[in-house]
Formats: sequence, structure tokens, C-alpha cells
Amino acid sequence: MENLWLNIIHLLTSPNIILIMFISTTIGIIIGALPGLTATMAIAILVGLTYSLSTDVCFAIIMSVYVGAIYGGSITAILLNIPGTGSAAATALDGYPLAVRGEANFAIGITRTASFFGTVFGLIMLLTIAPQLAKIALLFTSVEMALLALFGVLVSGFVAAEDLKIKGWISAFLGMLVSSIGIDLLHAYPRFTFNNPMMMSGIFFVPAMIGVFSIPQVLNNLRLVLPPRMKQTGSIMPKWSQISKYIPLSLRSGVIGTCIGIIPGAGEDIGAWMAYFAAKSTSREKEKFGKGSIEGIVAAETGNNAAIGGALIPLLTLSIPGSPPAAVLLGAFLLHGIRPGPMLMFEFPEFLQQLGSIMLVVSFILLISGILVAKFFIKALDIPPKILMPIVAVLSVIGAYAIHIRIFDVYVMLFLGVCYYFLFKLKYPVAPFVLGVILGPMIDENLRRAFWVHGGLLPVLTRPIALVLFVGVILLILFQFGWFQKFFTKKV
Amino acid sequence: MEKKDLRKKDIIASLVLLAVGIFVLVDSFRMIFFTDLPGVKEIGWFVAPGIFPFMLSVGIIAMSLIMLSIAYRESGRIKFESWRKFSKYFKSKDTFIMMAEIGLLFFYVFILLTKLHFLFATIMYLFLSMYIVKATSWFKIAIISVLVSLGITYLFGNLFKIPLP
Repeated sequence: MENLWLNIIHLLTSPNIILIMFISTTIGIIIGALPGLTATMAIAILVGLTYSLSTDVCFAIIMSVYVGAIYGGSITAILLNIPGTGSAAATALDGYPLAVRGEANFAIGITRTASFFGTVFGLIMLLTIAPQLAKIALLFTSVEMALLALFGVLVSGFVAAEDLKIKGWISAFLGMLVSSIGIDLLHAYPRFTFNNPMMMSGIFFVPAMIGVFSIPQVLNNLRLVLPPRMKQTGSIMPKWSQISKYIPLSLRSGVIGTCIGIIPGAGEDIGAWMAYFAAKSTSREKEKFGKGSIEGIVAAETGNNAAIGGALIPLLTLSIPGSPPAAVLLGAFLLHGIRPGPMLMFEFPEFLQQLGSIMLVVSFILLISGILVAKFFIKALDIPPKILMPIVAVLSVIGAYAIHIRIFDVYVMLFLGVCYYFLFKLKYPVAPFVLGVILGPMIDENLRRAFWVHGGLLPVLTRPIALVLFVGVILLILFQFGWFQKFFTKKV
Repeated sequence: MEKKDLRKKDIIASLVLLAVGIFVLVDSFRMIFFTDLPGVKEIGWFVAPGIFPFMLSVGIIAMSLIMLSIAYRESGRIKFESWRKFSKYFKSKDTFIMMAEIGLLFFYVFILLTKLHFLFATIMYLFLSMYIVKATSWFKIAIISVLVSLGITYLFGNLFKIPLP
């Protein structure tokens, strides 16, 4: 804890970093607010663009954009009735009716404080839970790590699928398949390389991530026409008395958001919806929900921002991201030589506190830059996607190229992006694919190493944690079949 | 998209995925049983480099078959008219613009960036891309394309020293 405060003091006494964080948070809010641009896409492109910067500056920028973008989505949800990011969809339900009633600025002010509260709450949970979970994770050997990663990928596919659950799993399997291209890690044997020397080094996750997150969005939103913005009236600074009465609700939504954030692939969107539904079901004014309920927007915004901290818990301790932006963040960590997982607390003992201090400072910056965006940069929302999307495509090209300075990575980005555009149209979720690309090598390497050490599958399963995880994976698969669900409910 | 329409497209997607799965299965089978690598002979086939892709291919094949059966069941009878509707889809303006934008992206990456300087390639791409979707008047598009390309080239190439393609 002492290190956290020292890191905060270090940040506060570095005007350059504070300025960079301020600009990044403001840009993050604008990105989140612009329909078609998402937090995940922004982080994916930034991973490439900030590669040459020092680690602390790089993560200061990325975390600022992450927190800013998750909040920014609420501004368009309130003013246009179009959530800027998926996580603000629940906010639109009550935010827009408030704007119609002439309370747009009040709604923006309330969501800003709720986002601040959610981020800080998620951070406290992260700093409390992560070190304890890391101690448990130290008991994990290669087989447990492989099964846990597989469990994470499967849960992500299950949670993220909007249409049929099987589409989420197909996405995850395709991601793992892409990750297996190139020289294999244990035997140095070339897999699916077609004798192409460029394919030997495999498909790097950054171009893959940029491709699947940005190109489908670019192509999908090119012809999007935005409705006119609602007029902003009233004060943007809510009174303390207006905020304080929602503290118990914020606490509960914070807990829900963090817990949902921990589930692999669930992330901020589901965190917001779950917090919203919990608030609705326990509210004394249920009838106001959907018609401009303050409780609704407070719960949704606290829930989605609290999920940021939640998503970082499994990411830092088990190397399994809790949300799509966290999956991209994992790519950024690996790129800068930081390997999240049980050993993180030993190899980089300062890192958790460093990340925590950035998040805390960013959440305070959010309070100020949120006002700036809502008051002065709001005109940025009027930029039509027809102009914005081609620019995003150019930034994606630079981001994919910058890391290894290989044009082949740009080809990979474009190929996967266009392929995924068609899958995206057929409602195949993107997050499990990226999780598969990142965690695929971990599953492959650890599983085969475990087989090598133990001499087969059955001896591996004599380890209790491995057995529990194996049963978990099998149950997760079996639960997709109707006959098993019926059988299970009958027995229970 | 209507559910029946979605399921019809799901049929095509699952057939493509099935083909991918079969290709991976065949190649991973070769990697498991027809390669002479240390460890594989002494310990067993389950440590071979093909084992992970093999498991994935089995999963992809099984899931595409399930997907195919669900899609076939829920799409209703595939009539001749519906296929005509399907061909109409390819002639619609939206599809044409989307295909043109995809083509333009490939043209930018494979031709423009390899033949021209990044700045000029980007100006051309931005101009054409915005022109296709009729973002605004051609004159404004030209000004935006030039200014944005100059800004990006200066910001990333000169200020941040990021290598540009």
C-alpha cells in the first residue's frame, strides 16, 4: 500500500505524465463518445502506436484512454440515444429520456461521478483481491494453467455470444487455431506455414487484434448517419446532496460490476446491464426505469467502470483477461515484457501498485476532463462516421505495421479484419477470438508440457485442482446440450 | 437481419468452417503420426506438435456440423425464390459500397503503400474512401484528405518517430 502512495506522489510530481494522462483521458472520452469507435478498438490501435514509448508512459496513455472511453460512451447514450460503446447501452435507456426532459447536463454530470466511483471501487477490489488470488495461483502448474486458460476461453465464448452460444465457441476455436500458425514452441516444428518465411514467426496478436476489432467496425459504420444531438441545458455539476443519496446503490453496483468483470470475456457491457437490472429489481421506483431514472444511469455507469478493475484481477493474477479491452491490454503487457500471471507479483512486485496509481489518478482526471468534453469538445460528436472511419482504417494500418516494421503484419491485419467482418455480420463475437489468439499458445505449450512430464492425460488428472478444472470444462461443454440440462435439473 | 436470413447465411458459414476444420484435421494428423521428432517416439503421440491443432479441428468440425443442423432446421425450406433474393443482395447499393470499400482497403495496402510514399498513398485512399460513401462535397473531401494525411504523417512519422509503412 505504501508503494501505491509513493507511485501516486511520483505521478503527481511529473507534470509531463499528468499532462499526457489528461490529454489521453480527454481523447479517450471523445473516442468512447463517438459511435463506431470502441474502447477495445482504441486500445488495440494504441498498443501498436505507443510501442516505442517507455513502459510507464505507455500504460499511463493506455489506461487513461481505457477509463475515459468506458465513461465517454454514456455522453452519446444521453445526447443521441446511441451508446458510444456497448457498455453504455444500459445508460441510454434512462439517459436519453432525461435529455428529452431537458436534464441532459445533469445526467452527464451524474454519470461522470458514477463512473469515477465505479473506477475507484474496482481499483480497491483489484488491489485487495489480486495479491491474494496470486498466492493461490502459485499452486498452479502447467496443466492447471492450460485448463484454466481453456476454461477462460470457453466461458468467454459462452458469455460473449449474442446469437447462438456455439458461435462464441467457434470464434474462440478459430482464435486458438490462428495462434497455432508458425513455429511450434516445444519442437520448433512449422505448422500451417505453407513454406512462407513470413508465416514461420507466426501471427502476432497485435495485428490480429487491430484487424478484428477495427476493420469490421470501419466497414460496418461507414454509412452510419447520426441523429441530431439533444440540446444541453442545466448545470453539469450535480450537487453533493444529489450524489450522496445514491452511494448505497453505487456500492452495490460496484460489487456487481467488479464480479462480472472477473468473468473472462464478460466485461463492462454485461457489468452495466447486470447492475442496471439489479437496481431495477430492488428499486422503490421501478416504474421510472426506462423513462429517465437516475438510479438506472447511476447503476449502469458504476457497474461498467467497476468492471475495469474486475477485469484486471484475473488478467494480472492468472493471465486471463476479464473483458475484451483487458484482452487487448494483455497484449500490451506482453509486448512490453511484462508477463501477467502467478509470478507477476515476484517478477514485477511494483507493477500492480503502478497500475493502481495510474487508475486512481485517471479517475480524478476523468472528473475534470469529463466537464471539458461535455462543455467544449462536444462538437467532435458531430464528425460524421463517413469521415472518421477511413481515418481509423489508416491508424489501424500504422498500428499493425509499427511493432515489427513488417508490411506482412498489415496484410494479416487486413485479411483477418475482412474475414471477421463477415463473421461479425453473422453475429460471431470478437472477444473470444482475441482471447483464443492470446491464450492459445499458453494452452498448447502447457498442455503438451504436462503430457510430457506426466506421460499422458490420466496421470495429469490426479492433481486435485486440475481435476476440478477438467470437470468444469466438461460440464461447461455438456451444459450446451438440452438433454444434459434436463438430466441435470431432474437429478438436482 | 431476420432470423431466417441469418440462418441461411449460417449454412454457408458452417460449410466454410467445416472445410477449414477438415483441412486442419488432415494436416495435424500428418504432424502427429508422420513426423519424426524427439519426445514423440519415446513418450507418445500426445506430445506431437499437431495435437493442439488436431483437438481444435475436431472441435471446429463438430461445432460446424451442429451449426449446420441448427441453421438448416431454423432457416425453413430453401426455396428457389429465396436464392434469387440472395443474388439480389449482391446487387444492392449497400453491398456494392461495402465491396468497393473492402477492395479499396486492399488496393491501399497492397498497391498504394508499396508503390507510393505513405503520405500520397493515404491522401488517395482517404479521398476515394470518403468519395465512395459521399461523405461531403469532393472539394471538402480533398481538403480533409490532404490535411488529415499531413497531420498523421507529421504526428506519427516526425513527432512520435513511429516507422510508417
